[in-house]
Amino acid sequence: MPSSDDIIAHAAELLRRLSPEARRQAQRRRERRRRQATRIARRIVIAFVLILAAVTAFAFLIGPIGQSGAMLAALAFLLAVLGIAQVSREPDLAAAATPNAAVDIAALPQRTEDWLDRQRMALPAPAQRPLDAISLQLEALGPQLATLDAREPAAFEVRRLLADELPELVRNYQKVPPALRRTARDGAESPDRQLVEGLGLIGEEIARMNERLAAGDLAALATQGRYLELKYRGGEPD
Amino acid sequence: MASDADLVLTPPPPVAAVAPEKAAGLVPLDDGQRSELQKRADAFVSELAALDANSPEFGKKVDQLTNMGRREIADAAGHSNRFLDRPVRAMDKESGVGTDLAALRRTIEDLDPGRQGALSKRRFLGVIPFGGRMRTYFDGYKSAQSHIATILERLASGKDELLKDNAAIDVERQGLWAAMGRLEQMIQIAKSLDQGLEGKAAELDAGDPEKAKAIRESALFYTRQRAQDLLTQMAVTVQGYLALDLVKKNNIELIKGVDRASTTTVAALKTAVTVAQALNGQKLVLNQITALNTTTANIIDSTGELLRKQTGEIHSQAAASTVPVDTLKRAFQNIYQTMDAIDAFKLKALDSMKQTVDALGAEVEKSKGYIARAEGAAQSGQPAQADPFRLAS
Repeated sequence: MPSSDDIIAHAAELLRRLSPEARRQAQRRRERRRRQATRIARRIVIAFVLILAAVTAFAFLIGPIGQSGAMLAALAFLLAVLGIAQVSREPDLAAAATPNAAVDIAALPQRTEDWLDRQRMALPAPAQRPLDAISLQLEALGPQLATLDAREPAAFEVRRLLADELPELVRNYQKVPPALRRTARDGAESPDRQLVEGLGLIGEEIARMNERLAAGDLAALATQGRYLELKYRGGEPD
Repeated sequence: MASDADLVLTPPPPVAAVAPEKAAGLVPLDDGQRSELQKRADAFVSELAALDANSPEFGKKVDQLTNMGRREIADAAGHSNRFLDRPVRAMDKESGVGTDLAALRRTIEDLDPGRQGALSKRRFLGVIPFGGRMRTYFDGYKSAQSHIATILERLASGKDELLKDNAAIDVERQGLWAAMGRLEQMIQIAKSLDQGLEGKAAELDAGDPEKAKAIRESALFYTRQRAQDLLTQMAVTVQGYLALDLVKKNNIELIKGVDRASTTTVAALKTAVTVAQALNGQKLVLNQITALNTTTANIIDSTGELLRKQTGEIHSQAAASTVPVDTLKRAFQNIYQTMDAIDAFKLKALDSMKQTVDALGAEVEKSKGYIARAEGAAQSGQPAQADPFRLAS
């Protein structure tokens, strides 16, 4: 019989899945999966055409390929399919690597997002909500970082937060034995709670970085508006 | 007579340093915010007093005090780093306009009827040979007009730069005002905390001297330190806010000067056209200037108004006057007066701008020490905690 805690947790999980953040997240995941499927399919078709061309060329230049030749061709195709499936998963495998200092600043948000996505399953249910928020903020952060000089202090801050502090929090949590994660001890909060709070703070900080990075553009727009007002309306707006 | 209305450009006085003690209270808080802040301070003091002075929770609470207003200070400091270079850049821009004005002056001097000598002689030697010199003199306008038109265009775009600068200053000041409001809230709560803690410590002196000591030595100490930091940052920010206003006013004066210089120049050239017609029936065509005149008039309505009035007067004077050359000379005099006024203004303005920048620079340097301390405290302590004193805004 489910306890009331379970029911509440279940309801919270349902609410989370229905939240706009999570829906956007799911949509992005679907898109990514579709992109990957298309990529694999295209490569398989190319491999098929290449093998067919090779067989045809062989038949033309040397002679009939025979039954064993056909078998060989089929085998080659099978190997190619397997190989392609393996190789095409590679971006994901690379993404699973922790985002680190070597990653280009513009690619960092995407990399972090991919990495977080892989960690999701290993993190407790209450952490999903802050994770959704972080993913959304990272999505917004990406284009802003594209034009940022990597030597600027702001870039340095982003890098420290995404490449050091966030992975460290998650790693430290994962090191705690699962049996101990739920209980509070020594007056401190439970590891689950601590993780959720840490993730919440990181999400807020990324949001603030987003704001700070956008401040220049916001000011430029406001300035242009005010300039037009000063020039063509003359002084204070009435 | 409109053209004789003296152009007075007054440079605003330099902005003096603002003492930290006087910095608070410049941005008004409404009563609702005030009572809310007071409530938070009271709650904090009673929560702190309820805790064991040696417990980690007490330490955590005190940490909140050391973090108080950290973000507000960093935010305001970010602004002040940006506005420090604005007056300096403004001085650069002035020099850009200054070069154009100097070029205009040189060109105008070449055309000045007073310096040519030809026209003055013409009056008492009404004999034929000088007619040729007259013709040559007015031909000078034709060759100079494209040059003058270029300079006037450059001045117009220089003016646009100044306007853009002012627009940026308006936006910046808006941001600064908001930052100052947030600082003010923090200062307010620091004051309330100071009073509350002081009172609480006095209350505890008899019953629990240990806790009273802990409150005085940690909580009250950090509160006062933070209050000092906040006030220092506030002083710098207020000063920067005023300095930006100074730059803006300077720009407005300079814009006025540029407008007037353009107007008087165009007026002088139009006068020349009329005088040439009146003196020796010479049809002087200054297409570029006429075209420029229309665009200028379109852009600035007031200038257009002034110009229309002036040229109307000049026309009637030149036509009616027995000495049209004097009218032309007066037109040139107007240009010189305007330019002299601008030069005098710029000298004074530059001076007060320099004083302002110096004062501001010194204060910003001072406040940087505080900010460094605040940052150091933040980094050595816990990972950034949510500031419990910040009002959601």
